[in-house]
Amino acid sequence: MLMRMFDTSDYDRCLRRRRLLAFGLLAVGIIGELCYLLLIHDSETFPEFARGFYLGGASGISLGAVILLVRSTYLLANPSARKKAKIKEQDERERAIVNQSFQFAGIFTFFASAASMFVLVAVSMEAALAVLGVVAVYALVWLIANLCLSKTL
Amino acid sequence: MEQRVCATRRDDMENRIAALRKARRISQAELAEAVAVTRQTIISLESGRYNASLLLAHKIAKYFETTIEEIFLFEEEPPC
Repeated sequence: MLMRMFDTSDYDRCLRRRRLLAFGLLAVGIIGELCYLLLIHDSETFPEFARGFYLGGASGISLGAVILLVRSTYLLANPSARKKAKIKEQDERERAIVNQSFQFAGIFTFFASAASMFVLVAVSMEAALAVLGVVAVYALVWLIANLCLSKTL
Repeated sequence: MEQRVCATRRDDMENRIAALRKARRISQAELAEAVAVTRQTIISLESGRYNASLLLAHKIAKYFETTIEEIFLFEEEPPC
Protein backbone atom coordinates (compact mmCIF):
# COMPACT_ATOMS: atom_id res chain seq x y z
CA MET A 1 0.00 0.00 0.00
CA LEU A 2 2.72 2.45 1.06
CA MET A 3 4.94 1.46 -1.88
CA ARG A 4 2.05 2.16 -4.26
CA MET A 5 2.09 5.80 -3.09
CA PHE A 6 5.47 6.11 -4.74
CA ASP A 7 4.69 4.03 -7.84
CA THR A 8 4.48 6.82 -10.37
CA SER A 9 3.75 4.71 -13.47
CA ASP A 10 0.19 6.09 -13.39
CA TYR A 11 0.90 9.50 -11.90
CA ASP A 12 -2.69 10.73 -11.66
CA ARG A 13 -3.70 7.64 -9.70
CA CYS A 14 -0.58 8.00 -7.56
CA LEU A 15 -1.57 11.59 -6.69
CA ARG A 16 -5.11 10.52 -5.79
CA ARG A 17 -3.68 7.78 -3.54
CA ARG A 18 -1.40 10.32 -1.88
CA ARG A 19 -4.38 12.56 -1.26
CA LEU A 20 -6.15 9.68 0.46
CA LEU A 21 -3.01 9.02 2.51
CA ALA A 22 -2.95 12.72 3.45
CA PHE A 23 -6.53 12.49 4.75
CA GLY A 24 -5.56 9.42 6.78
CA LEU A 25 -2.48 11.13 8.22
CA LEU A 26 -4.50 14.24 8.99
CA ALA A 27 -6.98 12.10 10.94
CA VAL A 28 -4.09 10.51 12.89
CA GLY A 29 -2.63 13.95 13.61
CA ILE A 30 -5.97 15.36 14.80
CA ILE A 31 -6.54 12.32 17.03
CA GLY A 32 -3.07 12.82 18.50
CA GLU A 33 -3.77 16.51 19.15
CA LEU A 34 -7.14 15.67 20.73
CA CYS A 35 -5.45 13.07 22.94
CA TYR A 36 -2.96 15.70 24.00
CA LEU A 37 -5.61 18.32 24.74
CA LEU A 38 -8.15 16.04 26.46
CA LEU A 39 -5.97 13.45 28.22
CA ILE A 40 -2.37 14.54 28.49
CA HIS A 41 -2.23 18.33 28.63
CA ASP A 42 -3.22 18.66 32.30
CA SER A 43 -2.13 15.21 33.41
CA GLU A 44 0.66 15.17 35.95
CA THR A 45 1.42 11.48 35.42
CA PHE A 46 3.15 12.24 32.11
CA PRO A 47 6.57 13.86 32.26
CA GLU A 48 7.17 17.16 30.44
CA PHE A 49 9.10 15.39 27.66
CA ALA A 50 6.24 12.94 26.96
CA ARG A 51 3.71 15.79 26.78
CA GLY A 52 5.93 17.69 24.36
CA PHE A 53 6.44 14.55 22.30
CA TYR A 54 2.67 14.04 21.90
CA LEU A 55 2.07 17.65 20.85
CA GLY A 56 5.12 17.81 18.58
CA GLY A 57 4.43 14.45 16.96
CA ALA A 58 0.74 15.12 16.36
CA SER A 59 1.41 18.63 15.02
CA GLY A 60 4.18 17.33 12.75
CA ILE A 61 1.94 14.62 11.29
CA SER A 62 -0.90 17.14 10.76
CA LEU A 63 1.41 19.66 9.09
CA GLY A 64 2.93 16.99 6.82
CA ALA A 65 -0.56 15.77 5.90
CA VAL A 66 -1.72 19.29 5.02
CA ILE A 67 1.36 19.88 2.84
CA LEU A 68 0.82 16.53 1.07
CA LEU A 69 -2.87 17.28 0.62
CA VAL A 70 -2.28 20.79 -0.79
CA ARG A 71 0.49 19.61 -3.13
CA SER A 72 -1.48 16.60 -4.45
CA THR A 73 -4.61 18.69 -4.98
CA TYR A 74 -2.63 21.46 -6.70
CA LEU A 75 -0.90 18.99 -9.03
CA LEU A 76 -4.16 17.24 -9.89
CA ALA A 77 -5.68 20.59 -10.85
CA ASN A 78 -2.69 21.94 -12.85
CA PRO A 79 -1.60 19.84 -15.86
CA SER A 80 1.61 21.80 -16.58
CA ALA A 81 2.79 21.63 -12.96
CA ARG A 82 1.80 17.96 -12.88
CA LYS A 83 3.88 17.22 -15.96
CA LYS A 84 6.95 18.88 -14.41
CA ALA A 85 6.46 17.08 -11.10
CA LYS A 86 5.96 13.77 -12.92
CA ILE A 87 9.23 14.14 -14.85
CA LYS A 88 11.04 15.14 -11.66
CA GLU A 89 9.68 12.13 -9.76
CA GLN A 90 10.12 9.63 -12.60
CA ASP A 91 13.60 10.81 -13.57
CA GLU A 92 15.89 7.79 -13.29
CA ARG A 93 18.91 9.79 -12.14
CA GLU A 94 16.87 11.39 -9.33
CA ARG A 95 15.68 7.92 -8.32
CA ALA A 96 19.23 6.57 -8.39
CA ILE A 97 20.31 9.46 -6.14
CA VAL A 98 17.46 8.79 -3.71
CA ASN A 99 18.13 5.03 -3.67
CA GLN A 100 21.86 5.44 -3.14
CA SER A 101 21.27 8.01 -0.41
CA PHE A 102 18.91 5.59 1.35
CA GLN A 103 21.48 2.83 0.93
CA PHE A 104 24.24 4.97 2.42
CA ALA A 105 22.04 6.24 5.26
CA GLY A 106 20.87 2.68 6.01
CA ILE A 107 24.37 1.24 6.15
CA PHE A 108 25.63 4.16 8.25
CA THR A 109 22.70 3.95 10.68
CA PHE A 110 23.07 0.20 11.03
CA PHE A 111 26.77 0.31 11.90
CA ALA A 112 26.45 3.48 14.02
CA SER A 113 23.65 1.82 16.01
CA ALA A 114 25.69 -1.34 16.45
CA ALA A 115 28.70 0.69 17.63
CA SER A 116 26.58 2.85 19.95
CA MET A 117 25.43 -0.24 21.85
CA PHE A 118 28.91 -0.65 23.31
CA VAL A 119 28.44 2.73 25.01
CA LEU A 120 24.74 2.34 25.79
CA VAL A 121 25.14 -0.99 27.62
CA ALA A 122 27.32 0.81 30.17
CA VAL A 123 24.97 3.82 30.47
CA SER A 124 21.41 2.54 30.15
CA MET A 125 20.25 -1.03 29.62
CA GLU A 126 16.80 0.15 28.39
CA ALA A 127 18.34 2.40 25.75
CA ALA A 128 20.70 -0.40 24.67
CA LEU A 129 17.76 -2.80 24.30
CA ALA A 130 15.80 -0.22 22.29
CA VAL A 131 18.72 0.25 19.88
CA LEU A 132 19.22 -3.53 19.71
CA GLY A 133 15.54 -3.84 18.79
CA VAL A 134 15.93 -1.28 15.99
CA VAL A 135 19.02 -3.07 14.64
CA ALA A 136 17.21 -6.43 14.80
CA VAL A 137 14.15 -5.06 12.98
CA TYR A 138 16.41 -3.47 10.35
CA ALA A 139 18.20 -6.79 9.77
CA LEU A 140 14.88 -8.68 9.62
CA VAL A 141 13.32 -6.23 7.15
CA TRP A 142 16.48 -6.37 5.02
CA LEU A 143 16.32 -10.18 4.98
CA ILE A 144 12.62 -10.27 4.05
CA ALA A 145 13.09 -7.61 1.35
CA ASN A 146 16.10 -9.52 -0.01
CA LEU A 147 14.12 -12.78 -0.19
CA CYS A 148 11.12 -11.13 -1.83
CA LEU A 149 13.23 -9.23 -4.38
CA SER A 150 15.23 -12.39 -5.17
CA LYS A 151 11.99 -14.02 -6.25
CA THR A 152 10.51 -11.07 -8.13
CA LEU A 153 13.56 -9.69 -9.95
CA MET B 1 59.78 -0.54 -17.99
CA GLU B 2 56.18 0.46 -17.54
CA GLN B 3 54.36 -1.82 -15.21
CA ARG B 4 50.57 -1.92 -15.45
CA VAL B 5 48.78 -2.52 -12.21
CA CYS B 6 45.18 -3.54 -12.66
CA ALA B 7 43.13 -4.88 -9.79
CA THR B 8 39.74 -4.85 -11.45
CA ARG B 9 38.56 -4.68 -15.00
CA ARG B 10 37.14 -1.32 -15.90
CA ASP B 11 34.31 -0.92 -18.34
CA ASP B 12 33.80 2.52 -19.80
CA MET B 13 30.79 3.89 -21.57
CA GLU B 14 30.94 6.94 -23.74
CA ASN B 15 28.12 8.57 -25.62
CA ARG B 16 27.52 10.90 -28.52
CA ILE B 17 24.45 12.64 -27.12
CA ALA B 18 26.03 16.10 -27.01
CA ALA B 19 27.37 15.79 -30.58
CA LEU B 20 24.04 14.57 -31.97
CA ARG B 21 22.13 17.20 -30.06
CA LYS B 22 24.37 20.03 -31.27
CA ALA B 23 24.26 18.75 -34.85
CA ARG B 24 20.48 18.99 -34.75
CA ARG B 25 20.48 22.27 -32.81
CA ILE B 26 18.45 20.89 -29.98
CA SER B 27 18.79 22.30 -26.48
CA GLN B 28 19.34 20.11 -23.42
CA ALA B 29 15.92 21.18 -22.12
CA GLU B 30 14.21 20.13 -25.36
CA LEU B 31 15.89 16.74 -25.35
CA ALA B 32 15.09 16.30 -21.66
CA GLU B 33 11.42 17.04 -22.26
CA ALA B 34 11.27 14.70 -25.27
CA VAL B 35 12.63 11.73 -23.33
CA ALA B 36 10.87 12.66 -20.05
CA VAL B 37 13.87 13.28 -17.83
CA THR B 38 15.23 16.39 -16.12
CA ARG B 39 17.76 18.65 -17.82
CA GLN B 40 20.24 17.76 -15.10
CA THR B 41 20.08 14.11 -16.22
CA ILE B 42 21.00 15.13 -19.78
CA ILE B 43 23.90 17.21 -18.41
CA SER B 44 25.11 14.22 -16.36
CA LEU B 45 24.77 11.87 -19.33
CA GLU B 46 26.69 14.18 -21.63
CA SER B 47 29.47 14.68 -19.13
CA GLY B 48 29.71 10.92 -18.55
CA ARG B 49 28.93 11.11 -14.84
CA TYR B 50 25.81 9.00 -15.22
CA ASN B 51 25.04 5.99 -17.42
CA ALA B 52 21.55 5.75 -18.88
CA SER B 53 19.32 2.77 -18.24
CA LEU B 54 18.39 0.56 -21.17
CA LEU B 55 14.95 2.18 -21.28
CA LEU B 56 16.35 5.72 -21.40
CA ALA B 57 19.00 4.69 -23.93
CA HIS B 58 16.21 3.30 -26.10
CA LYS B 59 14.20 6.53 -25.79
CA ILE B 60 17.21 8.66 -26.72
CA ALA B 61 18.05 6.44 -29.68
CA LYS B 62 14.46 6.59 -30.86
CA TYR B 63 14.44 10.38 -30.52
CA PHE B 64 17.58 10.70 -32.67
CA GLU B 65 16.21 8.04 -35.06
CA THR B 66 19.23 5.82 -34.69
CA THR B 67 20.36 2.77 -32.75
CA ILE B 68 21.58 2.53 -29.17
CA GLU B 69 25.00 1.34 -30.39
CA GLU B 70 25.37 4.47 -32.52
CA ILE B 71 24.93 6.71 -29.48
CA PHE B 72 26.36 4.71 -26.60
CA LEU B 73 29.87 3.50 -27.24
CA PHE B 74 30.92 0.70 -24.98
CA GLU B 75 34.67 0.46 -24.63
CA GLU B 76 35.80 -2.68 -22.92
CA GLU B 77 39.27 -2.50 -21.42
CA PRO B 78 41.14 -5.75 -21.93
CA PRO B 79 41.72 -7.69 -18.73
CA CYS B 80 45.20 -7.52 -17.23
